[in-house]
Parts: sequence; structure tokens; C-alpha cells
Amino acid sequence: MNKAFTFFLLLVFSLSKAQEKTGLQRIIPHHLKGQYAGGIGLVSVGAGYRLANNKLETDLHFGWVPERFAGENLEILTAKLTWIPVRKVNISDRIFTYPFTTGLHANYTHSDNLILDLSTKYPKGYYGWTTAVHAGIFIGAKAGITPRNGSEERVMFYTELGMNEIEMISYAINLKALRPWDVLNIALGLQVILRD
Amino acid sequence: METQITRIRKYRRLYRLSRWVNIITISRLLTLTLIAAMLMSMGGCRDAFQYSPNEVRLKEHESDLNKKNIARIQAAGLKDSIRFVVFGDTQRFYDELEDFVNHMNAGVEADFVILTGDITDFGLQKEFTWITRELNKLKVPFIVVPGNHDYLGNGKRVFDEMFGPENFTFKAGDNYFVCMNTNSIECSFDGSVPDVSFLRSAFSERSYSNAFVVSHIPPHDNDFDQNLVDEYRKEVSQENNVKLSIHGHQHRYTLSEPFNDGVPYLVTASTYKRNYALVTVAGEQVSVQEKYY
Repeated sequence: MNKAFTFFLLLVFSLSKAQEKTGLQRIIPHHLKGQYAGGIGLVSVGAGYRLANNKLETDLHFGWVPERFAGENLEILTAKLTWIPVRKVNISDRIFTYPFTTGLHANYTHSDNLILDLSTKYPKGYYGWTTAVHAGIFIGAKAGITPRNGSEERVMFYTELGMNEIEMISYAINLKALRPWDVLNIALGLQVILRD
Repeated sequence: METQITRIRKYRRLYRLSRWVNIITISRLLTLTLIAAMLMSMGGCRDAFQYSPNEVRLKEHESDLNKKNIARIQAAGLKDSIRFVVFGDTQRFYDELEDFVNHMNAGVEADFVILTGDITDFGLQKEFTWITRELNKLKVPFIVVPGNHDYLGNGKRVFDEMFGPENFTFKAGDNYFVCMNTNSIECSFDGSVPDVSFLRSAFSERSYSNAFVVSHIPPHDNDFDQNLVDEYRKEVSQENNVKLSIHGHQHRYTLSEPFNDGVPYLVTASTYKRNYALVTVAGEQVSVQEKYY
């Protein structure tokens, strides 16, 4: 498993360094991401593409929560869409930031206790929503440093402030008892750009 | 020829430098990330980082609450006359729960509060912590039995850690409380819930004057395993001095005698309805009043 993953990484990196645009190179992800928290794993790793003139990022994350934080290992698969509506701001010669990003994600959690189709266990319509799928929205920002000898983006740090659908609804109908900080959570991440 | 060699050398140096810069950049960003994460977790912001909505990461003051509250009830030195409040199905009604807590603290005379389960809607840790944050503001102790919603997803793990065992007993003066899980629907009616052997052993205890049985789903509800109703009634009986069988689940306040066996059944409404039951025990006499706030 580990060997296969290392091989996959080596392949991705070596192909991204290649000069010719071969058919295979076109399917290499534009970037890889590593994220801490954000409701999609203690840590998650993702790969994705930039679309629409670099204004959109689509990512697929694989996240993991160890047993000690959930009673059993959780494996979480997340599809994530990030919109970068604001242009890049250069803070100094080498430090830049995308001051505003926003987006949404949907995830599926694999676990013994979570059920995708509740009608397999309960009478139809007894509970309104599957326990294995959640969705969320977020706002955030990115910042990075360009290498000394170039202006291209290589690596970026990002942070996101988000909430899931249950937190959103709970907050909306309980404006007195719940505070924004009750429903918001922070994600921290690193984005490594593989190719333009 | 020589200039070409120096040019190649220069480029090689630059190439090495660019690789070096990248490693430095990455490590710097990683360090910054780690520092930010450490600062936030030191600031007590566990909730700032969520690993999954299904996570189980409770703090010390959020664990074993039933045991801690039973200890408070016993420390109060109650005799045979007690008063307690029953309500339940708080689910997502946080605003209403806040009103309830304020109402209670404003001077309702009661020795403790019993929640009849379904304190959450999806069994998520976040929901449990929002509810107990509010309940912890009560001046009197509170006891919680599990509801079927509390067991959804990873909820049973959160409940077990937060409140303790699903079946338990305690005494308030001479009054005996048998609290149990009757969420048969959560185990697909496999005969294991309610735990009849627990009920039997609970009633092998004899040194009490009145008994009260507390659970979420009442036996006169199809979500209670109908094959176990007779076993339940065998123990929850006048012979065992059971004065009241206390439940929630149906979101409608009722006080009835569904089996005509001399045992009254109290079913509380959901918290949304802003009402509760006030139970007064004086010697062998038990009276139940429906109250609004």
C-alpha cells in the first residue's frame, strides 16, 4: 500500500516535471493538498484541478480520523469546490495572497456505525437524512511565497472557516442560544502546485 | 567554450538554489501552520478544529454526567418526600431549552430534573455539547436516559462517554429510580432492547418505598419491541410498588393507564411545546402536574 502510494507520488512528480504535453500529462492534477481538520478528517490529502481561468479549484480529498478521536477509524471521501473570485494581491516581492476564497464540499464517511441508505435498517422515512453523508460551506484565504528565482506559484498555505449542513440549520433556527463560534470550525492546509 | 561551461555551472547552481528555496518555503509554511494550530488549541478552542461531525472528543467536564449528578442527588440528603421535573426530546430546540433553564433557575422548587431522551437530533457530539452546556446551567442535578435519536450514527459512543451506562438505577431518599434503554428500533427489534434481565435484577432490590421507571420509548408504542411488553409489565407493576412509568418519544404530553394494571404512564412532550411534568412525591402519594413556561 505504502509502496504503491510512493510510486504514485513519484509518477505524478516526474510527469509534472516533463516538458512535453503528453496525453498522460494532461490528466496529472494541477495541485496536491494536505489539510488539517475542517470536518473531513484529522488530516486529509487531496488532488485537484484548476478550472475557469484559475478561478475554480476542484479537489478530491481522502481523510482519516484515528480511533482515539471517534471510537473507530473513520475514512472520509470529500469532493470539494473552491471559488477564487478575487485577484491575487502581492504583499511584497515574494509574498502573495488570495485574500478571499469560498466554496462547498460534500463528503461520505465509511464506518460501521454510519449508514448510507437508512431504509435498510429503519422504516422508510423514519429519519430524514443519511448519517454517512454531510455537506459544508466555507470562506477562506490563501497565501504563498514564490521562489527567489521566479514568479510562479509553487506552494500555498490556506485556511478556511466552515460549517456543515446540520450546524447551519441548527444555528438558523436557534439564533438566541447558539453563537457563530458554536457552528464554525477552522481548517488549515497546504497546497503544492504541480503544473500550470 | 569556456563561457558556455560557466553558464551551465551558473544554471546548475540556480537550479539547486531553487530546489533549496522550495524546501525552505515549505518548511516555513509548515512551521507557521503548526504554530497557528498550537496557539488555537492552547486557547481552549477544541471546537475550532473539527475532525469529523462523527468525532468523539469530549472534555473531562463533559464525561460521566449521570454518575456525577447522582452523587449530587445523594449528597442532598433527601427523605421520602421529593419533587422532580420531567421533560425530554430537546432535539434541536436550543432556544426553548435556554428558556426552560432560565425558568427552572428562576425558582421552580425541584430536587432534580429527568430528561426522557432524544436530547439530540442526529447523535452528533456537537449537538450533545450544546445541550449539556445549557443543562449544566441548571442549579439542580439532571439525569438523562438515551433516546433513539441519540444513538444515530456514532451517537451511542458519545452518549456512553458523556452520560455512562444505558441502564442504571439510583435512589433519591426512599425512592428508587430504574433508568433504561428501550430504543428497540435502534437494534432492529432483535430482542436485546430493552434488557429484560437488567430490569429483573433491578427489581430484586427491595429496600425502597416507591419505584419509578424511566426510559425513552414507552411500551405502548410500536418502536418498543412488542415481544417484550409482557416481560416489561411483569416488573413494572403495582407489586413492585412502581408509581409511574416515565417516557418521551411521542412529542405529546399524556398521563394514562394504557394496560389498566394500576401503573400510570407519563409521556412528556418535546421541548418545542414548552411544557414539562412536575412530579411530587409525599410518602406513598405521587401527583403529576403538567406545567408550561
